[in-house]
Amino acid sequence: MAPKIANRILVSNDPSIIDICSVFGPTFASTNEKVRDLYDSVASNLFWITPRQSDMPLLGNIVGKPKGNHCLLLLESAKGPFKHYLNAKFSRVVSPDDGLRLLLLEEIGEILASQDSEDSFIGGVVDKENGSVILYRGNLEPLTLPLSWFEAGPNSPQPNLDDFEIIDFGQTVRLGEFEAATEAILYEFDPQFRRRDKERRIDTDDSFGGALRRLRLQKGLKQTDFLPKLSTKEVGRIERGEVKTVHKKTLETLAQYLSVIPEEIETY
Amino acid sequence: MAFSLLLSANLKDQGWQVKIRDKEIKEPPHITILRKGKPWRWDLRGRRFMDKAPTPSDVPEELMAKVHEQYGFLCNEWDKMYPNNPLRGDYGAEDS
Repeated sequence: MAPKIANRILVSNDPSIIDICSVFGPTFASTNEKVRDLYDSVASNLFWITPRQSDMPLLGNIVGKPKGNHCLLLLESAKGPFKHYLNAKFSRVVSPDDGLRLLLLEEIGEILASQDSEDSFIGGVVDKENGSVILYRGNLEPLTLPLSWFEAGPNSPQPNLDDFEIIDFGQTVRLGEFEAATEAILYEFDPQFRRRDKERRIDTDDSFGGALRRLRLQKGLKQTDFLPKLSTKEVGRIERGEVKTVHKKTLETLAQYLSVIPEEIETY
Repeated sequence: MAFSLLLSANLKDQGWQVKIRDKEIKEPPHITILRKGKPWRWDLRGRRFMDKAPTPSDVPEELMAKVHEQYGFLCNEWDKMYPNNPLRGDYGAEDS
C-alpha cells in the first residue's frame, strides 16, 4: 500500500510561490535553519516541494539522515553534484529530468489540496526502451505500467509515444491525440484504488458476479471468450449470481483468461 | 480521439469539461465531468451521478441541462468508442 504523506513542506521564500501554494496549506520553510529543523525533527512521512531552482540552496545545509520517509518534488532540475546530494538526503526525488514531464505548480497545488491527491498524476515519462510508462501520483508514489496497456480501441487514434503529457489537472494521460483516464489506469493497476472506487459509488453490485462482469468488460472479453474451458452458460450464471460457490478450479480458469490472480477478481 | 462536449464560453471559462476518453473504466458506460482535477462521473444508462463525491450538486445546472440535451449524442459517442460495452445490452453476455 502506498504510504500516506501527511505533511507538505514548501521550500521557498518567493512571495508569489508562497501565494500559489497556500491552497494546500503547507508548512513554509524559507530559511536554511527552518529546513534543517524540519528535516531533523520530523520522524514521519514528509513531502517537500521546491518549485524554483533559485530556492534550492535552502536545502543545501541538511546534515545527517532523515528519520522518516522524506520525498522531494523539484519543479526545476537540480544541477550537477547537487542532484546527488539531494538523492542522498531524500528517499525519493522527483524532478523534470530525463524527459519527465510535470504539471504546472498551480495544477499541482490543486491536486495537493485535494483529499484524494494520490488519485491524480502530477507527472510522468515514457520509457520506450523498456516499453513502459512511469507515472507519479499526487503523493509522489510511482506507478509503472506497460505501454501495451495504451492499446487503441477500434475508433481511437494510435497513442503517440513522442507526445506525452498529463492534462486535466492530473485526471488524463495524453499520448498525442489518444487520452486515457487516470481512474482507468488506477482501476486496473491499484487494488486500493478499486476499493476506494467501490466505496465512493452510490450504487454498485458488490457480488462476485458483478465484479467478474466488470473485470471481463474492462478486459474487453465476451462470455464466449472463456471457451472451451468454461461454457458461456456457466460464465453467465456466475455473473448473475446464480452460482453460490465458485469452485477453485473455475476461479483459476477465469483468472487465467482475465490475466489476473484469482483473489483479484472480486476486487473489481 | 477523446470526445469532448462543446460547452458554452461561460462554462469553458470556469474550467468545466465533459469527456469520454479513449481509455475509461468501461462499466457502466459514463461521461466524466471535469473541473480543476475533480471528476464527476455520470452514468449514461441510469442517467445519474455514479459517485457520492465530489458532490453532484456542485455541477452547474447549465452544464447538466446541456448533458440532458445532448444525451442521445453522448450515448452514440460512447457506443462508437466502446462497441464491446454498448449502452443497450451487454455485448459480451450472449447468455443473458
